Amino acid sequence: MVMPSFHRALDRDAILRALSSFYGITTGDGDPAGDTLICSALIGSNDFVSTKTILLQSGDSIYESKGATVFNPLTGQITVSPAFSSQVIAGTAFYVLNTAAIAITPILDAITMNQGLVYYGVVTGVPGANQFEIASLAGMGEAKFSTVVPEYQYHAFVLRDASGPGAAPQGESQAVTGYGSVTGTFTANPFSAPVAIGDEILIIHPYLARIMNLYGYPPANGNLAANWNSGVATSGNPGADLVTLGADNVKNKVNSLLVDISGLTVGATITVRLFQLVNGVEREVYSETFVRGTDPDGLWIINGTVGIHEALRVEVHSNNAADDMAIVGYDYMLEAM
Amino acid sequence: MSLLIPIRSLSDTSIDYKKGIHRGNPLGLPGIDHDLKAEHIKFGMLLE
Repeated sequence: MVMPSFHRALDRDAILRALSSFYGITTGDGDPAGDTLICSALIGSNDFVSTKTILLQSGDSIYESKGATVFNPLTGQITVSPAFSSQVIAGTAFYVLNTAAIAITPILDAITMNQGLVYYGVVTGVPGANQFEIASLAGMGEAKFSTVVPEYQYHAFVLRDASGPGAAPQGESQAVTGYGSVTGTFTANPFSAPVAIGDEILIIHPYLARIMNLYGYPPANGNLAANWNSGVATSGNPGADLVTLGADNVKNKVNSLLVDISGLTVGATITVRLFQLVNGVEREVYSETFVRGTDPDGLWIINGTVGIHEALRVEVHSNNAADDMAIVGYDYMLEAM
Repeated sequence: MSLLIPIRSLSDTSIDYKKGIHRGNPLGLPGIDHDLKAEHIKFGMLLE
């Protein structure tokens, strides 16, 4: 027994009506920029055009499709965005397809940016120092990225600098400390060179940024003139603070710490002390004395890796009054954990 | 990892015994004090 089939094929016209709303030929030249086309047959029509897709069937931009954004029933002009690659002149055949071109934008947004682990955007403005504006990342919620807690800070990674191949700050990453939702304005710690309009930025989830930072902070060095003899350091000991490594409640590895005492007086006894919180109370964790001219000028105080999760402060004292306001240098390497 | 401790040595001209890690003298004990030699350091010898 042959079962009757209730399926029936749509005829060709029905298929075309399902796929497209209109087929026509332009009657006038569109804008030279390629963003308009004119068809007098649409004059007086209702606006079934806006948000649909315009597919060209002839002309220099044949087979290109763009989203219709505006329809003018008085002139039969359709505006598309983005523009076709060339002017749509009179006599060009086109379809108005029943696909909502504008709906593609939020889908692309969902794929490319609003995922939480990483947000991509191109800088559209620089409203202030250490700030950059990304219009496409506006409206995500006031203060969404605004935190001063390092553990929870998103990081801004400069994927591409617009001014040239590899120019600073390309490749640099800094913690994001503020976010204005209305304009998409980010505030970040300073880069080695300011972020500029056109730079491509990745806003990276804090946990991913932490992995990225395992590569390490840039080496830090500097020097300081202080009252090494007559001063009083933070701990209350004589001398002065030289530098503080890391921060409280932030896990770091200290790979190296050197102190340069070459600027102090030959024969002076130099005391180097380290302080750090232990169970919430600051303690002296290191104290040694060196003699300028007898010991090496560069003191390798920490040689090898030690983990810290509180700030580590270095204090220096000289027993020679002539060392007040002399220069003491330092050099260290930190690595995030 | 290690923390720097100053390296010190004794001198035959000073009674200082400074804090730090002490290194030896290539001349041995007589390099520090001429009287510190083998015949003066003997098992059972009583220094009075």
